[in-house]
Amino acid sequence: MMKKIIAMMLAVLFVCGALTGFPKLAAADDGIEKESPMLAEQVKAGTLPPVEDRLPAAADIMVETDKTPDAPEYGGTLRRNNGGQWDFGPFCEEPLFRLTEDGGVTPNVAKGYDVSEDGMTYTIYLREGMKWSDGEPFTADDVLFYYNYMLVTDVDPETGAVTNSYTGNYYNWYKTTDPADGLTKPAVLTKIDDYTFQMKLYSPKPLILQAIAIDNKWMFAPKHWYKDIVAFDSSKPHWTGIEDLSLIGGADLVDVTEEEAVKNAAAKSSLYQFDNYTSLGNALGYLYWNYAGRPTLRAWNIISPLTDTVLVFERNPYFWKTDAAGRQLPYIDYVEMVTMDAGLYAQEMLAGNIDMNAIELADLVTYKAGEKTGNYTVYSSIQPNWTVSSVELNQSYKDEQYRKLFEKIDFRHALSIAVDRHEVNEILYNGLAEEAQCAAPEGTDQYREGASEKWTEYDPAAANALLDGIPEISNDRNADGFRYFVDGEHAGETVLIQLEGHEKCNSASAIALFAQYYKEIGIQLVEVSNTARNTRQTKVTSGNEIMALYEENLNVFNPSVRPDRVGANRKICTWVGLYGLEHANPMTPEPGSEMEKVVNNTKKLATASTLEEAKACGDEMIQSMIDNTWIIGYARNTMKLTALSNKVKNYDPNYISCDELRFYGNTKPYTWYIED
Amino acid sequence: MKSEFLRFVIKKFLIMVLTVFLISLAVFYIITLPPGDFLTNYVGQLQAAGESVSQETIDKLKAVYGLDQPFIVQYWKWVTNIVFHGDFGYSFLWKMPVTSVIQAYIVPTIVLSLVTMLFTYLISIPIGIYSAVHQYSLGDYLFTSIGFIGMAVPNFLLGIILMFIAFKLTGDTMLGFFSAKYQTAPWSLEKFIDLLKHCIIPILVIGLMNTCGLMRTMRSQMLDELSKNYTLAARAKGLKMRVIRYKYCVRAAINPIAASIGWSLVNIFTGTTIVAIVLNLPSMGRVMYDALLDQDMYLAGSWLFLMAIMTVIGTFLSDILLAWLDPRARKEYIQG
Repeated sequence: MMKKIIAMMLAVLFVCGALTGFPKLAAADDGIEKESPMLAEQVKAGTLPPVEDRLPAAADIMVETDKTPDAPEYGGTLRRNNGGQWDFGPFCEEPLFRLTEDGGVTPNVAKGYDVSEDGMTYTIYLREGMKWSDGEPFTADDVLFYYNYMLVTDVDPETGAVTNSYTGNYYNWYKTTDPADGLTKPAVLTKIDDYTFQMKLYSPKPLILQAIAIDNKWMFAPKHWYKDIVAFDSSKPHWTGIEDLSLIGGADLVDVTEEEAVKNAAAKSSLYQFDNYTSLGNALGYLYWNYAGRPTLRAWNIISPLTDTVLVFERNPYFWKTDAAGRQLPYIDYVEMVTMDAGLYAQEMLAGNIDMNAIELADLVTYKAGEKTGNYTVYSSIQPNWTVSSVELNQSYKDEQYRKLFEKIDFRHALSIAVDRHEVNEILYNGLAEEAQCAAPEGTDQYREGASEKWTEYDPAAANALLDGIPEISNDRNADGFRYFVDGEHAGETVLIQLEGHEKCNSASAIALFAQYYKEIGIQLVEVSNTARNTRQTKVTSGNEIMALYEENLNVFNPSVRPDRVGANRKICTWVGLYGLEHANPMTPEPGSEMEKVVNNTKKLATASTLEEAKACGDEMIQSMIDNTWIIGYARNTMKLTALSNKVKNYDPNYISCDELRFYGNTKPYTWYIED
Repeated sequence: MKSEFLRFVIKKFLIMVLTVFLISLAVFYIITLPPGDFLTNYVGQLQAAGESVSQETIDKLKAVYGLDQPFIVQYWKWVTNIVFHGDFGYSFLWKMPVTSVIQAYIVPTIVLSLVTMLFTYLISIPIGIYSAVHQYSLGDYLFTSIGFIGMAVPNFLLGIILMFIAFKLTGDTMLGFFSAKYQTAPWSLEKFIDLLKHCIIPILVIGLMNTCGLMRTMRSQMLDELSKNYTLAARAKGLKMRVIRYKYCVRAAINPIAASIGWSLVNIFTGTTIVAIVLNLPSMGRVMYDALLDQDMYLAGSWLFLMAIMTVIGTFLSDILLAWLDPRARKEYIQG
């Protein structure tokens, strides 16, 4: 009897236990899969260490709490369109700091950071026990080696200019100028311990982490893998003047000449056959994510040669992030980037042969119609688009008569209201675009009331009246129906705008359309060199060779962080032209002109020492865009469209897509999973 | 007679070498003709991607690739490397030796070309003969109609139509050489069968574009031969019709086709560019197209050069084949 009672009690206890929790504790170990079965098999076979040993120290694992799905599944292959290296690169980019949608930064590869009170010293903490995709430890040495031996190879002590870089692409914003002595010097990086390093600036620069997050997101490299393919000369003093090489990641380096580096690379893999040291550095040092075999910190790494038509990316067994339940990410084993003519993706989506494709506004209707047949959904995300169809007149065009004409705000005003935006929208975008001026869309920090509506009302009569008021061009029309220059070199010649198109967008149809509207106000518009890619590029970057540019998809994230398209800096900015400070001999704007304000603002932003100062510069740039309509926008598209198979889960379309935020990288594809 | 034939071959060979040299010069000139160069374009792409590239970097790269040197120096460097080292130069676009890029695409391109060529000849010659022998019969009209349609319809359009039909019938568009499932899988019987299935459309499309022309040539040549006096004489002497047709007429009628092998060899390589893009085949055509657009000069140049060499070799082979096939041609060649 006693036995029975004890047995009964035990049974009750057991059931209670089962209901309340202790078997659950046991399940925490074997109930939830903590890694992909693909990796579990390798662990079983003894070819891979267990998952706990592959992840960083428990406290330093990055946990994607917000992105954890209820019941994710491991495995599968995501097949998507191949948008080229600047598409699949950002897709699985893991930056040191990640730029956030509000313009701030959040640690990613880095665990955290401190800034000294004077704003000149940044102490950056890394994750203990974190590993490269080949299993080697990731430490501060990898950051220091990258910065001191790959990024900044030689510095001119007089000017602070970086004269040599293995990656071929130094970032000038690392250099700061101290107003006290007027000297400009690059930032200096030193090691504190294996998981801590310090960055010392020559002068405060409040947006340095944003700059790193946008431009130098790959601020680290596997030293163990690079040290025999990066040239090193121990007899030469280091540019920082620091003699203790252990402080800058160079203590254990042995001498390698440039020729040896090329040979060593060639011996590493048949994919690394470079004809000289510069192309080696540019390829493996800078565009590293294209090369199979290079260890990374990414969720997936390329395993195929670039010549393959399907590029295969395999999961990184040492990826250092987990979901809230402790499952190692990513969920998906393979990503395949499929190359084909852009027109073929629609059929392949329909046939279910690919799972994902980034689509253009003009194709939305086609894709939407196939949703059911193809078992996919078209999602729309936000892109900070200012214009998707616009005309930029070069304010520095070499021909003086045209330049003077383009400088007149009435001329730009006339061109803006001469076009029926509604018709443009219907014809080019099936009515799906916004009929707006070139300006920041609502919902972004750059939005200003009224800016999108400025000069958008179609009014050819008013446009004609505006042009009649410009004395340099005729009020009457010539035999062809166009206005002409009344004097000067071009006296009697038709006012003719040569608009540079682009072979990869629908510029031809847009320009043909604009030409008809412009004709109504007596201005002739022609499209030039639509096919030769580099002729166009040469003309654009020369500064004053190009007359006007048809621009599609102009996205602006935040001018104070990156003033590329609204400030006078970049060569690729046509309206700024030769005023751009990036040019070897930039043009000096006329004192008191609107362009002078733009140039001054750009200069001020580069040396801003507080966040407020930087923001004020950015705000003034935005206001200048609004006041001057430097870019005449005819349509805007803030929809970033993606067709995605319904079997792909946990894709959250609520994100901002732009280069600064790394496009799809911003949605964290390593948290997506595929349902069988 | 034999030594004369040898002299003829050597003469043709020497002309071929000279032609190849002139072609190499022309090819290199053409590639360097457009303004700008690969680097400008490459820098443009970087800048479009938001990167900034300094003038020093550009100048350095220019010097490294020898783009700052005069035409003749660049040409000399290119041609001597090919002749003495088998090195076709460096592809800026792919950042690897040109030979590696060509190697990656040459096998599928050659396989596709040879299979298509075989298909073309196997189909067109018999049909041509049939049509000639059964002139104005129902079969002749049928093949003639198909032939004209085949010649008139652009082959990429045919590709799209067949793709649509395949999608309607099987639910798959049959693009490329493999299904998604097998594309990256190791070789197996299933994968091979999958490959064969995917070959149907490309072979039909690329094959048909040459078939129709060849069919018509063969038919008219055959008709000519059938009405010639020697045929009549042979018939009068009581030779069997079959023997006359296949031993004498076909042999004579096939001459123009043999003479054009040189061109069709190249035509099949280059004529497939658009079809390869439409059907998503990993053939060299599309790589060449991109190389030209991006001014990847050594890759584009090497490919153009290889094409030209193939035409020259093809012509050389046709000449010899013709001389061997046709005693009349041989006599003409050797004496004149």
